[in-house]
Amino acid sequence: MNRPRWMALGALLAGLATGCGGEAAAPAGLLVDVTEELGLPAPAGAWPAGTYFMPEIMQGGLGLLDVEGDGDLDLLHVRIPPPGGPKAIGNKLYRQGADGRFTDVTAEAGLVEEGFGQGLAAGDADNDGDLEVYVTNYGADVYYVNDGSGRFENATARAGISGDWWSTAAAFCDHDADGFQDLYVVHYVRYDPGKRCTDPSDRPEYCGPRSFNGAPDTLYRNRGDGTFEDVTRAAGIVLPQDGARAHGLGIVFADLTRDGRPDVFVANDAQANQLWVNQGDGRFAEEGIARGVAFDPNGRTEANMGIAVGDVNGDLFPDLFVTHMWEEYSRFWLGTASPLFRDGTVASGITRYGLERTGFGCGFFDLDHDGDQDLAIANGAVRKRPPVPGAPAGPWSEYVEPNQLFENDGRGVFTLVDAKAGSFARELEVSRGLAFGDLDADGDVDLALSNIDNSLRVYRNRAPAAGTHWLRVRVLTHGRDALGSHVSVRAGGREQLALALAAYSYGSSCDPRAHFGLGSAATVDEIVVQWPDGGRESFAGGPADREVVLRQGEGKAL
Amino acid sequence: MSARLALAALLAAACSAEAPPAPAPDADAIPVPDLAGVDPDVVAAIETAIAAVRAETGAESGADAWGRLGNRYFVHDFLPEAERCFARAEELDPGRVAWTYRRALCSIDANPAEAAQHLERALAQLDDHAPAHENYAHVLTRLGRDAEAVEHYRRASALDPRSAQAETGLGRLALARGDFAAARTHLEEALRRDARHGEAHSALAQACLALGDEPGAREHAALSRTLPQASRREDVYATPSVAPAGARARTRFGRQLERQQRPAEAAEQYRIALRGNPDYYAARVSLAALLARQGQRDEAVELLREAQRRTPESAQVRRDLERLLEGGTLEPGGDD
Repeated sequence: MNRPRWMALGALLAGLATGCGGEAAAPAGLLVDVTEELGLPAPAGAWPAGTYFMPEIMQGGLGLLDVEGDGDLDLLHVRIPPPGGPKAIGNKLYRQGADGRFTDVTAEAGLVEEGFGQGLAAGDADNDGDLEVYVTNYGADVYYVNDGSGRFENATARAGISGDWWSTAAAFCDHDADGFQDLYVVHYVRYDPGKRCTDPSDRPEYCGPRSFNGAPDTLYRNRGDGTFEDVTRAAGIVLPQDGARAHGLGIVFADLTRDGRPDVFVANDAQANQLWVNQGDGRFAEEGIARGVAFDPNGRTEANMGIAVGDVNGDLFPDLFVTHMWEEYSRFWLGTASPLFRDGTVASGITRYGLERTGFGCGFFDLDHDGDQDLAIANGAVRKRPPVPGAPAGPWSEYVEPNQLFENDGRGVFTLVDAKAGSFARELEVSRGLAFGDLDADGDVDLALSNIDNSLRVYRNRAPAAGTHWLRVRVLTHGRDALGSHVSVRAGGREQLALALAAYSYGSSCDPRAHFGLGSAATVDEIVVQWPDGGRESFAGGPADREVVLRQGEGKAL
Repeated sequence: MSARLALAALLAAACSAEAPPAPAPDADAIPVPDLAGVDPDVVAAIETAIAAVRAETGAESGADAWGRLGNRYFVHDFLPEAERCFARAEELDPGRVAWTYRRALCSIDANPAEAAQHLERALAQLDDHAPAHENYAHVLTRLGRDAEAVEHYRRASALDPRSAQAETGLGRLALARGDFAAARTHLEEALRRDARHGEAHSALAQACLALGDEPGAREHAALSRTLPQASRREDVYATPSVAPAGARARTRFGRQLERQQRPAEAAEQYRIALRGNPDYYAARVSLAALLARQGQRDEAVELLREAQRRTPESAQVRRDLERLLEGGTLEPGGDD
């Protein structure tokens, strides 16, 4: 692909569209499907009928990560075996080349273990500057160590990782400030594959989470010598009935209580969410109920799945967004000056758009570089619904749903912009994972999406208007990404907050570099980083439209 | 008037004149959901109710037949179809508030704005019914109409001084507006009414934390984790009386009959359930447990062996069969 030529063509088309008197969106929309153009496999199309084997409806994972450290994002796709097929399948690693196209390098990368894939986490666990990968499975998980060149070795047993709970999401973060990133693994339910479920109308259907007891999560402490120890109980990650009410699907590992220490927020399907608040001594206390992020405003449990985190209303407090099932509003919990989060769902405006979708992957990102956090959601039902208009025939016709794109007005009020969103909101599939990152290194955030038929999609962002500016901030500590850091940027008379996170959305791993849309501000006044150990430093700003790399200890301590 | 406005007015008038009136929905068209894959027992019950609608011509009896078809759809979760039946029943007999109320319940999750309209009409006749006020307040909360919700929770609390639900709602709304002291008062009152109300404990944990009472927050959060969150509220208008149909309903009814010491009738319900859906394990294990208690252990074992043949990978079936073979008793759990 000749990138400059492609860009020139895009600019010409965009100009034509504006000239026609419509909205400024390019003809193909703001998020354009470039999957095949990038050499990635086309969506699967035909797929065997579901067998109501519950793990096949929950698959999520894909990751955008730079596996060989060449500066561009590669794509790791965690896959599931086809219904009725073998019980395990290999995942796929696609490496991005200098021309922007992707090549399947799974075998040479050594990511050869087969499993019933669900999700992944990526992080540098040995502080050698490259990314390890943790793959969650229905069945035993796999931990891969990277040799620095993008070749991986299965180090699961050597690292001391064991167990075969049904794992969904996972996240790396240094919870005890010892310099090494620990690992939190979220487990879903104690599934009985023999259980046959029906819907309320007595038709065969996938079981729901309430059909099974939940399973306790696992916190692995990184010893720093290539091994982990299970410190779940010692860290106080203990729930009544051994986690029977913990049906975990989503995770964010970051400081959500503004005490400088990374906390863990776990989204539970049809159960109360947990907010494990870091006590600073290696232990956590569950405060999700007391801080108001466990239930809906009527005190009821909801089907909590994917998680987005960011500051949606510009008050510099991190806010949470959790996707839910149809007939439940996906929910905003807004950070406040008090210890409590405030439900901001109605005020966000998203309740105007009905209750028809089942959301999974999600994330905040500044779509158009106007200085606020927009929102994308990957949708797809878990139970049969009346087919949406235009639903393709086939086994998933009663499960497909369009994805959704919302624009923020800067005050945390969101408007659905599907009409101009492009193929992202047009393609009718059963989507799960959604990962965010600047795939084409043009300064804006692109999207990658996974569907339950093992297909994936990549959407190129064409939203930012000419003349808008951006900044990307990579924060490093101990020679690796400082996952969980808070990064705030002051530019053009405004201050913005973003978090350096890889693990959010649903079973996905995103580019952890903090991205800021700056609008018309061409220079940045100051960057402040709150590191995962609680330390805060100020760094000089400078020109926009570039990536800044900041290392802990090199700024001015605050 | 500018030329542009004049043109717009002309176009609007033209459109208005030419646009066909919105087609009136055929009120007498009987809604039928997609019944593919549905338990034949349920299909038969629906067909019976449809036939009753077709047979009725008088307004009052017609309303009753439509309402009964609505009830049938309602209990089997065919809610859009139930809503249309209740709408027709309400149209034919506006005096029967149950139709209006159940119409609201059909859309309470999927379309709270519509549910609110139906509840407003229902409340004109159900002003003394506390659950109706609570449902309306619940819907209003979802719609962000918190001030109105407060009024209805207050009314519900006064109507039913033993119910914790309304005081919990008042406490949650006080939390939402940042009045933590008021929230605490309401939630403590809710817990005086029902000390095991999980939602009240979880909300009181928030109020305590906001008021700086961390031990109180921890205590109530811990209690709420061990209690059911979704409180069930007795509501006669929300519970239609229909004959059981389908494996799930038959199994529940069978268990009810067992509690009433009517084992033969219970066994018959389980057997009907299994004929319709042989994979419905709750019915199978209930029947096996009942037979084992009556000394028919061989038949009970055969029932579970059949379950194992059907779902050889099921750990639950394996455990139950082992327990039965070892002479133990079965403990049928819940359904799906």
